[in-house]
Order: sequence, then C-alpha cells, then structure tokens
Amino acid sequence: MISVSNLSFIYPGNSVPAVDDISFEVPEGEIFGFLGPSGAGKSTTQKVLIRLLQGFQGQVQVMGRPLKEWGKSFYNHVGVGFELPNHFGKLTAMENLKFFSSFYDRPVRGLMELLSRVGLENDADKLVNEFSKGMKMRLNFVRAIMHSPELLFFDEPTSGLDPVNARRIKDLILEQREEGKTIFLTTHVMHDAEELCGRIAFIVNGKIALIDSPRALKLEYGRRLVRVEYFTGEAREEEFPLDGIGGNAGFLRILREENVQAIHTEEATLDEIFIKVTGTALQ
Amino acid sequence: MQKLLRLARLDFSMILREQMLWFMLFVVPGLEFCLALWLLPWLERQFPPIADYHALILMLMTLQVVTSIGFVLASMLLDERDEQVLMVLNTMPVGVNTFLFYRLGIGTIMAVLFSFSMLSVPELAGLNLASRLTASFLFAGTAPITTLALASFSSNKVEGLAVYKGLSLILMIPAGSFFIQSWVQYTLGIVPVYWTLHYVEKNLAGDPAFEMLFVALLMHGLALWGLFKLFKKRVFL
Repeated sequence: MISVSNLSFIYPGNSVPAVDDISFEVPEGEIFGFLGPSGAGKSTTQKVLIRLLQGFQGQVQVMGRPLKEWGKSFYNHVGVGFELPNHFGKLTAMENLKFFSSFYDRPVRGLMELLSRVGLENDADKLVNEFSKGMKMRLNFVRAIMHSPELLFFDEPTSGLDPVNARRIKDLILEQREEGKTIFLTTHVMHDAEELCGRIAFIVNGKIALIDSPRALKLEYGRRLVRVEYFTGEAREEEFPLDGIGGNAGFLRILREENVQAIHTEEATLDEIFIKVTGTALQ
Repeated sequence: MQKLLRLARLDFSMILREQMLWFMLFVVPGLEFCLALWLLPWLERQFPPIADYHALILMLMTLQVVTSIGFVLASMLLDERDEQVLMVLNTMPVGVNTFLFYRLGIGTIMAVLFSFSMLSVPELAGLNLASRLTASFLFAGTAPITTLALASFSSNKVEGLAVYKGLSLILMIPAGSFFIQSWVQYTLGIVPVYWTLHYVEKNLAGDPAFEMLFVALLMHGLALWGLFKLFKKRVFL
C-alpha cells in the first residue's frame, strides 16, 4: 500500500534533513506505527505521504502509484486525522462534517452513526467552539473515516482523550483494520503502538533505527526470566530462567509452598527497547 | 452547483453567528446606501459646494462598502487559519486553491451587487448601464484585494481590524489625485483603486476611457496575483 525508498526531506532554509534516507513498506491491511520523540521526523514523513510537503528526495509509492503522479483524487482514498483539532469553530459538529463531506466524490457513511460511535451523538448540533479538546479530537477522527478511505493516517489519535474515549478510538482503529484498511499511525504513546500496530518503526533524528512487530521486539530485547513475588511475613521476589521453568525445583517449590502474589515474565517494554536502540528517551 | 450552494449556506451561517461580521456585511453597506440616497443629497442642498465632489464622495463610499465585504471574508480566513482548517482543506479532493477561489469569488459577486446598487443612485445617472456594470466589477475587485491583504498581513482578527483601518486609508489615497494637476498624480496609480476612480470620472464625462479600464484590470489582476501568492506562502510555508 505504501512503499518508501530512500526518502529525505529538508525544510526550506534548513541544512539538516528532517527526514534522512528512510525506507519502509506498509502492506495492505496493516496498522503501521511510526514512533519517535518530538522532532524526530514522524510528522514530516506523514506530511510527505499525504502530499502536504513537496520537494522530497527518494521514491514514494502509495496505492501502487508514485506519489507525484497522484492528483487531488488521492484524497478520495485517504483519510487524515491530524494531531491537533481543526474544525470551523462557529459551525456545529454536524455542519462541519457536512461541509467537509461535500468535497468527496464518493459516498459518505452515516454521520450521526459515526458521531454516536465516538460518543458525540448528543453534541451533533453544538458549536465546535464549545467542545473540549477531546471532543474535537473525536470529531477529527470521524472526519478522517467518514468517506471510508482505503488508507488512513492518524497523528496521535488518542491525544487529549480520557481512557474511555481513548478506548473507543482504539477500537474503531482496530475495526478499520478488520475492514481491510491500511493505517499509518504516528505516535509517541508506546502503549497505543503496542496495542494497535502490526509493526512499528522507531525514528530518531530523521532516521529509522529499527522496524519489527512489537511482540518480536519485546521477546528479542527482553530477559528470558520469570520473576515471582511472594509473601513470607515480608514481601520477597525471585527470578528463574524461563527455559525449563516447568522442571525448575525452586520455582515449583514457591508455587507449592509460598503465598504467591504475582508472577511476571521479563520481556522488555517498548520504552526500554526504544532507549536501548536509539539511546534517546521517548517523550 | 448544489455543493456551492451548500458551502455558501454554511458560510452565511458562520457570518450570522458573529455580530461583527454580519454588521460589516449587511449593516455597513445598508448604512452607506442610505447615506448615499438621502444624506448626501440633503448635505448638498445645505452646502452647495459639495455638489462638485458628489461623485467622488459616492465612489469613496462604494469603496467602503466593498472593503467591508473584504474585511468579513478576511476575518473568516483568519479564523480558518487559526483553526488550521485550511490545512485540512489541503487534504480534501477539492484542494485549498479551489476553496479560496470560491471564497474570494462569492465575495466578489456580493461586492459587484453592492457596488452596482451604490452606483445606481440618481446622482450618478450620467453612467450608462454598461459603464455602471463595468465600474461595479472594478470596485468589486477591491474586495478580494482587501481580503488577501488583511489575511496576509495580520495574524489574528484584532490585528486584522488594525490593518483594515490602515488599508482603508491607503485605498482612499488615490482620491487625492483629483486635486493634483501635475504628472505626480500618476504616482498614485500604484494603488489599483486610482484607475477605478478615474475610469468612473471619465465615464461620467462621456469618455468611455477604455485605456483606463485596461490598466485598471491589469493593476487589479497584478495585485490579486501577488497577494494570492503571498497569502499562500504565509499560510502554508
């Protein structure tokens, strides 16, 4: 669906590239996570892919065609959820959606149904100026998916959302994948990436440091240990090798004889992997 | 066409929801029209020397009407820039250029109608229908120029109001050319309005003044082209 080869981009007036010779592929139906700290080049890459930035170096193909060959019809196939809310403040939520939907050359899904999926059904006729940031972000999301595009770009889609609404949005993103949509997700929230993405790329200083699935990364960079926490009048913990754990006498004894409070495997978190691979903390 | 009507309906909804905008779009032109129709003739009766400047005063009032339309559209564009809506429009099949053309186009159409009304008061009866229509289009050209200038040189609506005052003064400067006899008056021709004012003046005197019309169209076109480029550069780079 997306094929990027040796992509570089330098902003006018700058000498340091914001994106420096990166390559990756995103197959159809995948949620691909693009992770990195602020200023790493995530949003620049996304802006190139959605044709907001011209003058890049390298080859970029989207939906089987070089990006430069696409015209405005490109946006009939693409939905963009921006990092910050961007709506007409003096129009209601429904008026905003109707306004933007009138630009598409393809049918638009039931707007009220979409609003109810993100918990805004009772706010459809409220002016967007009266919305909280979280409500505006949910409206952003609806606008991105309302024309059922094949390819979706989301930049920090859960930013400013409470846990309940973040869950709603994440469920909807997963639902889009079930429908066969391809999703390019830019975020620095590792938990979201781990939960949603089939594969993730770490980007730092404009370069991709690593691409793999969250599960493979966690196993590769984790310690193959089991940590047991138990209580014997005082809290204690012990670690055992994961290999051969079923025959490990010490481990089995604790399970049988002690008051076990928790058992953990010691796979790495994405945050730890990111720091290990890039030497930079994610913030 | 249906899409355009829907856009226009939503635009008017936005205007009607902000007091300053509907005041500038409907009340100001309405007041200017009433002044042109009743107050100016009354003043002329009280102070006869005003009669010599009647046409010029009417033209400047027409200018005020079209710049107030330009101000309304600029305010909307400034809001849309603040709200990052123009960025979103850049990711729509219609594109931001089409949207801007629509927005400036609808403002120009309104400005043509309002200008035509202003130029139809009895005191300008010397203008035939063709000249009145042409002059209306020339005056209307100042509306998108005002919109783009305000939207390019202001970062918010408060600044926009200040720039609007300055711009209104600049647009009035060519009126000074009627009081200057030497070649110096042509230096004021850098402001496109100069050519509109002199086109109307010559038409009132019975001269079709095609050369004025040509230069006026050229100057308006150049100003619009330059300001459009500037606006896009300011907003999207």
